[in-house]
Amino acid sequence: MTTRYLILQDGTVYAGEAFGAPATTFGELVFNTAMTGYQEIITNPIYYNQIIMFTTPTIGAAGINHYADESIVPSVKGVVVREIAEISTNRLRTLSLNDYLKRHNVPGISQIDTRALTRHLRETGIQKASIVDQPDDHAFDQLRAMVLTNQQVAQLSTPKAYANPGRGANVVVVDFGLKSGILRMLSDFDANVTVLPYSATLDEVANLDPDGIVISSGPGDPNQVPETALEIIREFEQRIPLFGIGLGHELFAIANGAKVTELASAHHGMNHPIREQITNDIIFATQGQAYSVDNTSIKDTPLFVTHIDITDNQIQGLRHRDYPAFSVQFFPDAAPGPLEETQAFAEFMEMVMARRGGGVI
Amino acid sequence: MTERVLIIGGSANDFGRETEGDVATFQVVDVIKKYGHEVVIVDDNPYAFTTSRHDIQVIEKALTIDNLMAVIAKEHITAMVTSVGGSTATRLGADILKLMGNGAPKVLGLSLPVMQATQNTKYLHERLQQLDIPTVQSRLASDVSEAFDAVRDFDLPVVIRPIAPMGQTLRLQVTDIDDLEEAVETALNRSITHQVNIDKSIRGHQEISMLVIRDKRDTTVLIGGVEDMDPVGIHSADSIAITPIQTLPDPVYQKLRSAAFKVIRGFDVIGLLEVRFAVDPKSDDYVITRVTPYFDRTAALLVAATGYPLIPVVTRLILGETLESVKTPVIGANHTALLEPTMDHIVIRFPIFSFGDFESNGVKTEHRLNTVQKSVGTTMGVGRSVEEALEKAIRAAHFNNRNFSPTVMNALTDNEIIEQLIHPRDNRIFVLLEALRRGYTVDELAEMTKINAFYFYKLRQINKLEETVKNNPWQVDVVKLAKYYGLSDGLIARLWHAKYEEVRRYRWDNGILPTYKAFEPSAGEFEEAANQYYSTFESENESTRLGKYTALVIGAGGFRLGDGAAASYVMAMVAAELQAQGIQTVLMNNSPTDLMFMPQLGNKKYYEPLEISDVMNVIEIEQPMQVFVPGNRIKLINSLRQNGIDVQVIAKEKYLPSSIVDDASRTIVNYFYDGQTIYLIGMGSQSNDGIILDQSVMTEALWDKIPRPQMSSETPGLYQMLIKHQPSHNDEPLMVVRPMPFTMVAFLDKVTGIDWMRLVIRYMLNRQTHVEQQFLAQLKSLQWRIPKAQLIYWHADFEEHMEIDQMLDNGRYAIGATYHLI
Repeated sequence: MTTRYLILQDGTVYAGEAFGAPATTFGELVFNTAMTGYQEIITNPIYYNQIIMFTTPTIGAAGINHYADESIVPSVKGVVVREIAEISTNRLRTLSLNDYLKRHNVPGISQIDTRALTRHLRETGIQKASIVDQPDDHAFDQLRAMVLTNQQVAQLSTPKAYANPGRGANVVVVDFGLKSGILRMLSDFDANVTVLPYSATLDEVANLDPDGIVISSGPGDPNQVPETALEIIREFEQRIPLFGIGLGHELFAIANGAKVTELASAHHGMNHPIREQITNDIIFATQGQAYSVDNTSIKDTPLFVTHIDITDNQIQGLRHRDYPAFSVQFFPDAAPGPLEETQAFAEFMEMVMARRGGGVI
Repeated sequence: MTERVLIIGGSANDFGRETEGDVATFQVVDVIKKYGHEVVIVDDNPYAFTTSRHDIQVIEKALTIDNLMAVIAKEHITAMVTSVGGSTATRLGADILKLMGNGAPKVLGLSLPVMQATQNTKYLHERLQQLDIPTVQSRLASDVSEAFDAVRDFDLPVVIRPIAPMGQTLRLQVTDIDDLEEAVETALNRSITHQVNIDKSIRGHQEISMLVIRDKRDTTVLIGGVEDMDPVGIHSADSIAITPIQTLPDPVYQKLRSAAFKVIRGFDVIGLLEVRFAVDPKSDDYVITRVTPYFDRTAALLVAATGYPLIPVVTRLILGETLESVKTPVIGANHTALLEPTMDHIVIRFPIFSFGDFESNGVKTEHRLNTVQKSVGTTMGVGRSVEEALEKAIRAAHFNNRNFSPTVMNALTDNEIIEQLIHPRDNRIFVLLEALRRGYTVDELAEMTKINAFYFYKLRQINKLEETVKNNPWQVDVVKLAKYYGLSDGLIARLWHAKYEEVRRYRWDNGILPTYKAFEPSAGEFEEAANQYYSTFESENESTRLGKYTALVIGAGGFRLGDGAAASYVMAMVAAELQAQGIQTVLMNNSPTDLMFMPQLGNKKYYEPLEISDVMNVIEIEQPMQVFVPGNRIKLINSLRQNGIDVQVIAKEKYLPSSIVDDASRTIVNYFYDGQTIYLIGMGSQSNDGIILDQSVMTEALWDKIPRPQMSSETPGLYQMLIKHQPSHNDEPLMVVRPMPFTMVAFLDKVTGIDWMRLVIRYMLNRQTHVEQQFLAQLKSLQWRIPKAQLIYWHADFEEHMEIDQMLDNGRYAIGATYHLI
């Protein structure tokens, strides 16, 4: 039993019990209201640079399973919970969350009044935070001096292109911090996937003669992503089916002239109702976003809104008026979360197959 | 168009039917009336709170198909609600649809297939197969070779049942192929049609419930999931149940969520549907075992746990609104009903068994748990960890039964422990704790009991905690830890051989104080407008004093044998009257099915155990002017008074006296006492069958002749005098004056049309006016709403449920009743 401390940039201190790695960590503290799927969440690369706090009180009861990895190593900088579960490691539960975090040098802290902290964060918005041994002046100085990188995409994206072969359509995924769920969904359609680094050039994409392009999800501020990514979108959306997810959705918006702004308070969870504008259907999906496409900036673009979060009226999906290109802010691959919007992949693959049938570019 | 809506009531309280249906009915009525429709309700439950409303048409008739058909014709009924009257209303609603065909009034939200699937497992399986949803594999066989074919397809184990059995029904579990032939032959010989049913056994699988709702536009929302600690094989009501679901990985959770949506769509239900799953922990495969299209204990638990206003929302949906058009003021100003509740606390439902009550009165019973419900009541514990929620739930269940004392557990031999691990009894949780103490490993126990290892780690933590407390008296850190995991001051005191007051003071002196957290469906994401709280010991407290002049009402707690529903009714009346008097009312209780938790009652609620330490903690925050406590909580009343609290006792006599001993009927005289003068209300008689109230027996002469007993206390209340018809063998005197049993209070209200407990409260508060005084002065000329009526104790099937085969003292044990006009 080791007491450690979670400290926030505004001076807030919480004492708790250490688990995971004993390291000192820094990151942006965000809360996630999902009741299931902690492993998928902490391995989702969008949380690079962030300390995740779960609002649901028990975390870890389902252990760690290979099928729940969204990347090879966890991306989070820290995990904050009320209770960490002890489990027996057998069957699919090959490892406990505690051991898993130790292996990957990620610290955790438990016995935190996560409800109080959530209520605090919903007022202050995202804050820098640190898990430390002593909440002294030195620790606060370090926390305040810390500058988080804005090069998350560069650090996470694959340095080299690689293939994820299949026997079906030829799909290029541009990796901005790709989560495995996207590849899993494409595999379900037996797509022949090539994953390209975020810095891929127009020629590199064109040389692969793709039937479809996925602009992946990823961490951080879309406005920091280099211009080349926008060029790929602008160039290929005109003739090749293109699907943007998360950060990829934000980039799709920017590439087409819309604005993306930072939210006052980030939203991470799976219980907001999202309306499909055309059918008026309501769906639920996993969301993880600190940025949002500015509603007013859509007007002068060739885009129209396909999905809206009813709780806060944020744009959750866009489509191009003239081209076979669309995007969603949420995670259509689920993993974790509700399965109803996995059909977005079916829709994309339908467009891909249609084009493939059509022959030449 | 204005509808004439018939609400089919649930009739008598019974096993699996506490007051949750009444809670729902009351709210449904409010919404239906708001839409301008007219409400007719048929029910014959004397303890129903809703039917004491004066703004609806109540028809007090037995819940039979003939009576309902007559009401439909006479009252020009255009629509029916069957989802608040439990399985009775669902069955009757289905029968009406079948009999009346196209001429039947529509059942709001439901169609015939789902109502049939609720009652008929075979039909459910067929429908689910059509929907391509996994269900228990089941096949008919008329000889041994067909049975072997089935087993080849299903794999062992299987359950063999005779079709149309002669005599008692039979279930044979076959785990070894060598035993199959004999089992099939035995079953075939017992079958009138010489057929057997072969089910693939799902014993040992994990039981999960999901409650989903749907609107007419096909939008679906998951309200929540509940996980049973015990596997299939123990009735779900008898298992400890936990929400939110703790042990399912996300892919499995999402698979079940999607399946629940598929089912509610497949059956085209508008409103709510509970879908029950059995999940094979080895493969994560599942089957659907049950669908429930009415408000039951699972829905009640989820309403309490999530703070989601389920009933008002669902009622609007069945009246044609969409989820998006229904506002829910619980969270933020502009939120609609479209939000999947997410929880940042843990709620545990704990069953109350009453084997002990029977045994201490010499009634033999069988403690073993199986697929038939044994529990008679429910409590819940809420906390921020499983340990805390469980500690509080156990405390709320209020074990004072000798079967559960540590000495008894110590005395169990190792063989008895093994026996009871494999064949669970009502003391399940204590045996599990004891087994851990004796050195069984978590994995051994998980294998033996099919309970997820996660829970054994939690139980082990509780054992460790008690050990730490015991070995470290008067240590601040230890008290902090103990409180963090939900141990009560009383338990700490017991472990330290100290007094509760000493522990409480020590805790205070060291600043270890409870923090209260709100129930709301967004886990803190949105600003909440909640008024329901639970305690924990963390850093932030969200509950501040409601006001300067408040009253605190303590609920009756979880139901036991006897008058649970009547007590719930009476305490709801107390709360309602306090509110009517303009007094800010704080309610405290721990039964998720209790009437007290309906949103219409109270300004603020605490879902807490009702031990002295829990009550004092709330009193310290709220500083109420007065505290109202039901009279059976003698220990609590005494402890509160010792702490200098002004306690108003809602006097009650738990039992109607035994009439089974001499099998005699007694005359009863009912009185109202205003604190100074005693007023005669009327007469009746009672026997082991029930109670008769009859205004006509009261003649002018009798009215003057009947004694007005001298009262010793100055507490206003309802009293009664019992007069035996003949001297008996025992020492019971000929005439006894005592507080009126709650059963009688409820029945008297229904018969006279007066809410007597409300009158008592007005006098207790000293708020009576000349209206009340005049009313009491003219009681003689009061025209009863029903001149003559009979209450009949419900013959709950104690033989089936608890294996009791002797005549019972109904005044003491009956858990429900009906009444009718004579």
